[in-house]
Amino acid sequence: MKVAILSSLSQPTKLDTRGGTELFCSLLASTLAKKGHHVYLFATADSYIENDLVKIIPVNQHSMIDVKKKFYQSFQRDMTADEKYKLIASLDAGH
Amino acid sequence: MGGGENEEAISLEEKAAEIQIKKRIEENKLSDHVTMIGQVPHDTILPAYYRNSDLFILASRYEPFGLTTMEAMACGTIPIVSSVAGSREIIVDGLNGFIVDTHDRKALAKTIATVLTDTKLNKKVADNAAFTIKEHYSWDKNCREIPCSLQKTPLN
Repeated sequence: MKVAILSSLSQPTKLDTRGGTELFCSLLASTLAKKGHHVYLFATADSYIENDLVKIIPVNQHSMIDVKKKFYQSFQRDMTADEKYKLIASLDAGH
Repeated sequence: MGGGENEEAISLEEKAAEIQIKKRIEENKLSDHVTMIGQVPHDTILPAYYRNSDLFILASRYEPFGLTTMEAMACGTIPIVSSVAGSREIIVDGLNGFIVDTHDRKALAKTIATVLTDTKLNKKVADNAAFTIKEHYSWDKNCREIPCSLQKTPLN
């Protein structure tokens, strides 16, 4: 499955982060990748995941708005097309 | 408490809050009773702090979830969490932890005192807290169920 994870941008998404959401996204991304999913992590540029199978797409507060708009539109247009993400987990709970 | 060791990651607001807390500790002559441990490595040292603590208190006035609650529970530390914290959802009050009204500081103090003195209750709640995480919130289980749950969620 092709999975997009939209992390919080308050802190870098990595194991030794100080944010709970960022830590959760970091572990979720690496565990889903280990289970064979194609994971795309939208997070700050200084984020780091030990699993190379996770592709980090750097975003900032401004570009994240466009990313979210694009995702919601693409969901509405066609959810099953291969080029689209099959699953989007937005975990930016606090903001 | 958790997180990395990068001092640069601390914002100016946090630094100011830390100074204010230290000042209040000194003003109330509590320096012998309060230790500010700062940030410690998450995977290696933090679990030891949790295991050596009788209680984990999340007294936030704003808290989207509070992953620390689950970390503490996983280590068998009794959680007392604020009623606004998202992590209250995994706590059954009195069974695997305690939930107190965010603004009722006296109730918080009373709950702390009760839990610390009632060793029978203490042991039961600590065991239940660890069991809750092991049974229902393991990473493996979460990562199996999250994709399934989200796929079933209607999007429009």
